[in-house]
Amino acid sequence: MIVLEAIGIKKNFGGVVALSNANLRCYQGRITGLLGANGSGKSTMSKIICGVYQADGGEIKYKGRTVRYRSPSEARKDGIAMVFQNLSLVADLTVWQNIVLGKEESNGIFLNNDSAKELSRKILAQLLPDLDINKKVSQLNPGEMQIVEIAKAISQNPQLLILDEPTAALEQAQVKNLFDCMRALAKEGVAMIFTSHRLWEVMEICDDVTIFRNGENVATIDFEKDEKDPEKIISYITGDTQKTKVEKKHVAVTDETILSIKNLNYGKSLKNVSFDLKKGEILGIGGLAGQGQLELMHALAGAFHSLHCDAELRGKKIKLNRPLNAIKEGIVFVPGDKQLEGLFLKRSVLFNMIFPKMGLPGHPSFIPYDEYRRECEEIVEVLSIKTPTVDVPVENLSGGNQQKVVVGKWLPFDINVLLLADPAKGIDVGAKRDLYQYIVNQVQEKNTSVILYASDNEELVEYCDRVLIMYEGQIVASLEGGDINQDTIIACSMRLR
Amino acid sequence: MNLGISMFFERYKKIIVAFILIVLLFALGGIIVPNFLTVEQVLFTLKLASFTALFALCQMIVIAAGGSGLDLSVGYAATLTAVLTASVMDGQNANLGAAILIALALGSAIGLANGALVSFLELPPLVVTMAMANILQGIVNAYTAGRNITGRPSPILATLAAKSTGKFPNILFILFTITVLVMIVLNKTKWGTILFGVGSNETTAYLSGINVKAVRCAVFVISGILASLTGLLLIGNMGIAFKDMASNYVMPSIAAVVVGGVSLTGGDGNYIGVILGAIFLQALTNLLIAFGLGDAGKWLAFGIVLYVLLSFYASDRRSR
Repeated sequence: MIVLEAIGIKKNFGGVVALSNANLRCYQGRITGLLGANGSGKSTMSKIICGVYQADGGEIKYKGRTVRYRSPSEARKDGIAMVFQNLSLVADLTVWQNIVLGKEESNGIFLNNDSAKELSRKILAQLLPDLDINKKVSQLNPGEMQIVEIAKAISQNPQLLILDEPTAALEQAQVKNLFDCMRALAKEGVAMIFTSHRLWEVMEICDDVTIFRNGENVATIDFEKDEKDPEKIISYITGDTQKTKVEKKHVAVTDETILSIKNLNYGKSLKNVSFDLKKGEILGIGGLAGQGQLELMHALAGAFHSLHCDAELRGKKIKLNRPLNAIKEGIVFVPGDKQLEGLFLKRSVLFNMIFPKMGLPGHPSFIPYDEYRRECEEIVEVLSIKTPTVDVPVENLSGGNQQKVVVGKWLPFDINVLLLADPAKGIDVGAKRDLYQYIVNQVQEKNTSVILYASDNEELVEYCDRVLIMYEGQIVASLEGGDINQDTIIACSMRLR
Repeated sequence: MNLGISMFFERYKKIIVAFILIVLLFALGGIIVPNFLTVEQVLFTLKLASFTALFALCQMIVIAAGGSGLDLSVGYAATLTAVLTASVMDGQNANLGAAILIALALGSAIGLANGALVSFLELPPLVVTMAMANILQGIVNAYTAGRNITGRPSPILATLAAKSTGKFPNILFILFTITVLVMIVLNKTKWGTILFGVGSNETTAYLSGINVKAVRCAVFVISGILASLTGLLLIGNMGIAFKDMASNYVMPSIAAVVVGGVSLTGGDGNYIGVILGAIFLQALTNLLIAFGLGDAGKWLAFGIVLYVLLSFYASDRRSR
């Protein structure tokens, strides 16, 4: 039975077309996967269905009735719940308070806390049984927060549940629990929409997938009838049949040490981290989520003022307690959370691209706009950033293109060390390939050194010359050559080896 | 081309709104109140609006740097400057230099105190500048208690702030010069880019090598200096200094920024819009005075205008 049908949906943001003619069907008790490059419109589609955005054209039929929600709360009343990619939790409230937020059962004046706790416990029993529901959300790690977010959506007893990249922050065991939970919900008749950039997840959990490209649905595959062919799905996503892997034809890593880090300590999150980075090396940082990897990347970028560390660049002592110190030495940082740490969303592509130059000592007071505009347009060209002009606000760009802007702003610099914190997070197959292709080219042509933290082990296996595994703020293993494989990385991450 | 025009309207929508509001207000005044639309009356309105616009410039710079920045002490810094420099100037041009030095010193000291407390001790700007406002008013009250404030502005200052060239008030030349300077600094120099960057996303700005705290401190120093200098212009205009002379400008200075379409969350700012905001508020005040509604009507109307515009802009933000 069709629960939801979207017909010919159109949506523009400023001058950027997000959806031109998009169709989608969801069925009772089935999980529908949405696949597509960033900017293909799948996120926009989900947000239109649950009332975050309003469509400019087209029709949405929910249980046979045409609907047009003006807000998520209207959709929620009709039984449509969405798990948001950008977390919507209140940090200062506890887990159970967040789960029941907005629908507190009241007993006259006082809230009925016991039943609320009971409800939260019941839902979490399936997803993450060990989680203490009295903990504040601010004390949780990103994976646990995402689980609470999912529990919050499930607690609304939805008939249609939209999960927009719920697994991006999760560890593999948590993903498995989530999938079990989704299967149970499907048995109860809940229709689900699931998006993820990890293809194998979609193929494992979904009953059918709809693939989006350039604001349109280009294919629908029913896994009950059609075969599960990843190559075919990828070709639908990218629109071409190019191979998806980036060649790792490495120039042999040199013996020259470019960056040497000794005794790096920061609060409780980083303890005695030491390593050497060779010129032309791609050094991976792995481990379970939240073991200090992001803190390490920030520390190397100079973000922590009270950092203790003996750092040497090409044998010369450097201080890493201000971002400007790192930038001046050619150590540049591409943060994982691009919207929070890498971009000025309301400002233009040009503004974002030229901003890092502003803090450099000796930068002329008057900005040479003609020169910078030319340079910026070149970068847009090189990274194939999809934008009508460089004067468009970055918020109108898709996620993958936004990430390219964050990388692109460092291109004019003389880069010694490129720090990448989960650069492919929330990026689709096509943009990810573009990005890594570019990085590998940089390493090959200019002998740039890269430190790459990736939450997806596959990226570490594919691109790194050496992988350091972190556990509770320390480096616990260094893998090289044949040891860089999924099994060894996972085993070391969990301290099994 | 079509995209260009729609982007133009998108970008300057709020300024166009402010402009239309002013035209409507003057048209309404012209119909109802005799002599409202004469050249003299319009120029007089612009002259009065200049002072609000100058205080609103302080406000805009602080607000643009983000971090819920706001400077409630501007009017009080101006009053203190005017009161202290009145006797120093003593109606002599020769003493103007000393008066300007006092204004600069006072303004930077007040601004530095505000800025240091806000950015290095991380106290909320609203509370810090409110406390500063009270301290400054206290000093003024103590200084003026039981004695007359003697002294007049120097003739040059009076010419600049109060007199006209033909029908054209001289203060408008000053405002025009400042406007051009502000537009250049904000849009053509690295300082403007850094200011807007810090205001739109402090984390991104910090990771790009900007000393966010120093910027947030500097905007208060600039605000303090501009406020003190405006205090000098005020005494030039009024001819005397008195203890409540500028405190009434604080709320209108914030209102002008809002009417001018500057986001209170920081990260943008167009001074032309803010000046239009100041003109709108002044025209509204004049109209209300013409109706015999005076002070009470003025504050009531300001409040309503703020509510309407803020909710209008807020709903605009939500629909995006």
